[in-house]
Amino acid sequence: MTSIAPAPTQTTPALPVSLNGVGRAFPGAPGEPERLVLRDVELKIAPGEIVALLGPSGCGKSTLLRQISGLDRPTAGSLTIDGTRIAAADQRCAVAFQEPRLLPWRTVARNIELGLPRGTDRAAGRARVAELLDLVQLTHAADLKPRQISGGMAQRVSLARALARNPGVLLLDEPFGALDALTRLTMQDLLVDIHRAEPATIVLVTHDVDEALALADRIVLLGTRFDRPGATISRILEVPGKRPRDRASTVLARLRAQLLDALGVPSHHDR
Amino acid sequence: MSFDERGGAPVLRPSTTTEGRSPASRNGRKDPAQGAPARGRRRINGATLLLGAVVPALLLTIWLFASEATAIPDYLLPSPAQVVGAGVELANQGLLGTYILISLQRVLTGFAIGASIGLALGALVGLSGLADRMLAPTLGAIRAVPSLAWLPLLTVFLGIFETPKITLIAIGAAFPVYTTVSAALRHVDPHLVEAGRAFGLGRLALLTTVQLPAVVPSVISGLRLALAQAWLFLVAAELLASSMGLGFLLTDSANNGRTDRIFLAILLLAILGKTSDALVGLGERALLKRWS
Repeated sequence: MTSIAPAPTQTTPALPVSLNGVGRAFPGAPGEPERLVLRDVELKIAPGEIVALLGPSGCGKSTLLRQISGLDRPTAGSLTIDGTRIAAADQRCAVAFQEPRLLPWRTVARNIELGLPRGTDRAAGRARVAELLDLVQLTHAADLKPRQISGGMAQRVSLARALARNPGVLLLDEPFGALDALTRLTMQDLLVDIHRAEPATIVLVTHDVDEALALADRIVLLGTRFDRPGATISRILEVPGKRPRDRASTVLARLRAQLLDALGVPSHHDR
Repeated sequence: MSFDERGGAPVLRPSTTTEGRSPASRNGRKDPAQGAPARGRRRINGATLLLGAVVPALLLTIWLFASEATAIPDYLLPSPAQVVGAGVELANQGLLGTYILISLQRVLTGFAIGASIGLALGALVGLSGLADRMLAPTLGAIRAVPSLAWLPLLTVFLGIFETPKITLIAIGAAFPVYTTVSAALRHVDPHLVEAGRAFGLGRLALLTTVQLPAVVPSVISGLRLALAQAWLFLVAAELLASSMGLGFLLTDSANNGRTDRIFLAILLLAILGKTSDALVGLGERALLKRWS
């Protein structure tokens, strides 16, 4: 593990990510051919950019995110962060998973502590945790156990734990997918605030078109062509407008219709 | 999986602890599993104690009635007073204390050794796929050997004194711990392990930060089963080859037709077994509060 431990309160600059012809195939069941999930993914992500990976479920969005985090390795192509190859469980990234994945025996504060870079000294670590608790508005819940808090709170803890890393790249795997609609909107606004306070590069996996429109600078659609196995980028859309965005804006409505069409869902949108 | 013939509580444990653990894997779904861990942990208060005493009191009444008011002869069914009398008599001879202490000593020594071996083997097999594939079948086969089958061999190998008895008890105590710990380690929520890995924990840090704390409830329930099992194997060892202890009291009394002493020995085993289990239960409460 080679992790640089900068002064915790100082944010690491956002880092660029580059995906070069990334493919991932999984070995098939005995006697069956391997299963190609991703192929030929080419993408350059600018530092500080928010990119949403959008696609139908099972299309390989999470698999792609796992390649960037270094939790999984591609079978083709390569990935770099800031020009260098991604290591196993790369410490320049931090991940917030779809489930909060908190250690049930640790308090909220101690769970966030887990995200601190190795070698952070105690006092600085405590200060950073306090700062993050404040950022995700959970100071009052610092000493509660995960079973004592709601799903939305747990997801905020998970986000704070990821931020504790001072990540150059923040990877979010459908982080709000399991939350109710209202909490999800609040969390999206929170993420916008967080990004303004600590502008990491964010790659966000989602199947929620509106979430992608509210948060992303660019939306990357993943899809499979009927004549070839393996998902790849089928379309990239720039989303105009500064965040926080008007969710009812007509520009976004038009984009939503385009996205839904691309996803094969009738949008019922009046042009 | 039934290691236990001594009462339901320890056997029920694993299922309650699995329940206690499941919020870990579920945590973050819509329900925060509120109150789930509280299930399976009863609060002990006056009413609970009173309710628990109802059946023993009833049994005692029936026993009193059957021994005093029916024609069943004393050599088949001694009265409670006679059983107490037998205890006083043995105590006066200085035997009762000795028997209890020697049995306790054997159980605790055998349990400590067996549980440690079980923990070590369980950790090895649970954490290493190689060890799992190499050792698990053999250990499973050894576990399948009925306890009493070891006794003649242990006597031949280790003589007739303390060593074979303690070895037998250790064998008995090792397997529940081995089984529960290895299974629990193998089934630590892979999501938590992956999260730990994502946050830069190495193998050792992962073990101490995620895997070991996650199996604390299973370790305790394994220990509880092991303790029950240790008592079981103690009596087996003492019944067949010993000159002291509660198991010896049982065979000796059976040979001499002392039904009152048989009753005494059985009652003592029940009380000692339940008390030791309750003590472990207290420790369990404290640990579960901390680790779940």
